[in-house]
Amino acid sequence: MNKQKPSEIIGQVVAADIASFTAQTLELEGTPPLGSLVQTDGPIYAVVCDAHTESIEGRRPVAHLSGETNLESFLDSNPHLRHLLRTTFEAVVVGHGDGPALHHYLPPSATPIFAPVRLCPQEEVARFSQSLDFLKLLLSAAANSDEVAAACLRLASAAHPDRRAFLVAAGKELARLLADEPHRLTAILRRIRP
Amino acid sequence: MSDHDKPESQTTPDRLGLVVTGSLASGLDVRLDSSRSVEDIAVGRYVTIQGQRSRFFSIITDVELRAVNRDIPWSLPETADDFAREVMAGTATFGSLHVVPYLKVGPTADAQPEPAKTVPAHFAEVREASQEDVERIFGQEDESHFVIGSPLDMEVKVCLNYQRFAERSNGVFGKSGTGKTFLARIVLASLIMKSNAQREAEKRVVNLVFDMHNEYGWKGTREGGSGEVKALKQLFSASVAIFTLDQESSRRRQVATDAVVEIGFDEVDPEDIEVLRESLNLTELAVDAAYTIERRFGRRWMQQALDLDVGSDEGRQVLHDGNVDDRSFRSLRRGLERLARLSFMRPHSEQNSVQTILNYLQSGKNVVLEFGRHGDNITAYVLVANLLTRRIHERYRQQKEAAMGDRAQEPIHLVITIEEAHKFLNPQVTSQTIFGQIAREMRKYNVTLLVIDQRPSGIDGEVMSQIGTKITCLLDNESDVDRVLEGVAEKRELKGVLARLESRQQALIFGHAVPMPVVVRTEEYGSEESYGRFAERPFRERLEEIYSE
Repeated sequence: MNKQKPSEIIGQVVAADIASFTAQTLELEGTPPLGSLVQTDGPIYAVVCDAHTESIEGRRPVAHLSGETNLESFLDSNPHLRHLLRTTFEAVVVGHGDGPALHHYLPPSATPIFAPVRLCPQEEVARFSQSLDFLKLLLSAAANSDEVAAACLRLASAAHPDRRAFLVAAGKELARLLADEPHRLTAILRRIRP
Repeated sequence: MSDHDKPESQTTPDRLGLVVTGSLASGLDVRLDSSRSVEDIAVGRYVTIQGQRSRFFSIITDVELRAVNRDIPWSLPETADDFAREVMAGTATFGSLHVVPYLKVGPTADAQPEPAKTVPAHFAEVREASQEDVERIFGQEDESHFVIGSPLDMEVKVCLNYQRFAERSNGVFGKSGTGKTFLARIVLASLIMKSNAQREAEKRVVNLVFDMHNEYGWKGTREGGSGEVKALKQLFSASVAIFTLDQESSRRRQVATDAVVEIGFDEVDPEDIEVLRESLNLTELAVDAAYTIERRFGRRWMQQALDLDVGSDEGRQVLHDGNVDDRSFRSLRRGLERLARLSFMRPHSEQNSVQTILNYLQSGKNVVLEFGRHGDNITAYVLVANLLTRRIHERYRQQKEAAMGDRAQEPIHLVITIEEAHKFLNPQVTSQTIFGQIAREMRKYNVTLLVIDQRPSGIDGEVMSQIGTKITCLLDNESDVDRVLEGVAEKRELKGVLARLESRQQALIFGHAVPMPVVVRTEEYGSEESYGRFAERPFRERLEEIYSE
């Protein structure tokens, strides 16, 4: 979401463990893009790996076939829906800050509940992705980890002045991590090819 | 600057990679940094390995493509675009080098290189050898080092240690047309130059060159055969004398000679005939006959044998007394007649060639003996070289013994250069020729050899093992290569290097005068500048010496 201003809060942690957390977005359509780097208090850094929009009450939303094609105006004409539905996203924890230092491994404790979640600004993404050690955490995380890693690298590459050099370096790190899984490796490389 | 803009963060431009495995016996495997391409590596090049305390000086002997996972290179063809290739290089797939450590240099600045008796630890950094490294190993040109060429792909000079070179017999080998003569000329010129620069008399050497094809005296043919280059006399007019066996040829070539060498029949010994048995096609009995006749007639035996009328009573009596049969005698006489027809042979020579040559040598003058048109006559070459050398060696032996260990009284160290060395040093005759003896006794009597040969396989193995420094141009005959590398520890590796030499101006040098084997591009020779290297310096040094005194 390029509209997001740096450091603007996009959500709040609603469930957390050491290796991941779930956050609810402030707005129904406020999901951060797959693979984007977010941070919460701590700071704890995480990569968005999944998102859901569902009914708050646990009931399944029913499709309204009123002929409305624009989602925005559809929600505007049905204002109650914004209160019945919520969007959550999941993020894999990939590192944490300790004073000025950045660590690309798991923090000592889980992300605090209700902690605000912010999208990392480009400078922060560039700073964090200077080291690619976080890829190991990312690859061993959830289902779709390869897709998430590829998306994360594509997004992060935009924060670096030499995009290709960053992607080559990232590719090299992947080649080391996935030396025994050539098919996974090639699949990711195809997805991040500049 | 982020980490990925400099993939190996601590690398320096000359770093090649890290030692990952290996042994002293079989060499080390080096993982090539991803920033280095295998295509920039060349077998035979020098690398240094920085261990924890010592630095190891090594040669690259092989280059290999490796992969961390056997299947990776096979599972990637579809993505073999530039990006994938760049990503894979140095990670999943990488180049590796095989290097052999030769020398170890201690941590202190003045530590001398010594043979490597261990290997560096895991992950020691491997770098391209710098100019300073090579200079540290092969020395800089000074009073005791002379330049022979440059290592491949490097601008520094490789020097031979003059003292160590002179104290043993040495060899220049290579098949014809690879520049043996060219190299030998550089070696001889360097020996003369360095000898002239020595202040202590016992460190000086003089050369006696049996110059088969008139290449070393006044001028020689340029490498490749077009044009001429200056030879020793033109470079060192004061310290080189040209002797000739064929004055007519020398005159035709406008070479000013210092003396004409004649050989009297009475200077030929049966031993000289024995060496020529093959080329004169003599039977063993014919050689025995020569000894028999010499016993009867003494010094005049050759003339007597030529004059003997076997039809006369006296002749028959001589053969009968010596128990020589008629056929053997006729065989011997045919051989002697061939010798007698050589234009430098005289029934009796007033001049004493051996003494003349010795006088020159003793006064520190180098002697080049030109063979003129006799150069193509191997019989003449073997006869003269063997005959003169035997007598000169005998005189050296006497002088050395008379000196009784007083170094000031000892004769000046003599280096004798012979071409077609296998004719003198093959297993059949090496026990009879003086050259075999000189090669074996090292510098016992202050005489050593510089042998030049294109068929080293023809040289006796024992003699070959006594040769201190071998300068070897391209050899492609397997048995020649084997003979040259006999007894060398890294034979297998060097064989590969020797086989990959270019056919011109490249030589592998190993042995006594170099701390480790080295492939050199030979020094340029033939331009005014190259002559200046030899001629000017001793003169300038001598001037400085005079002024400083």
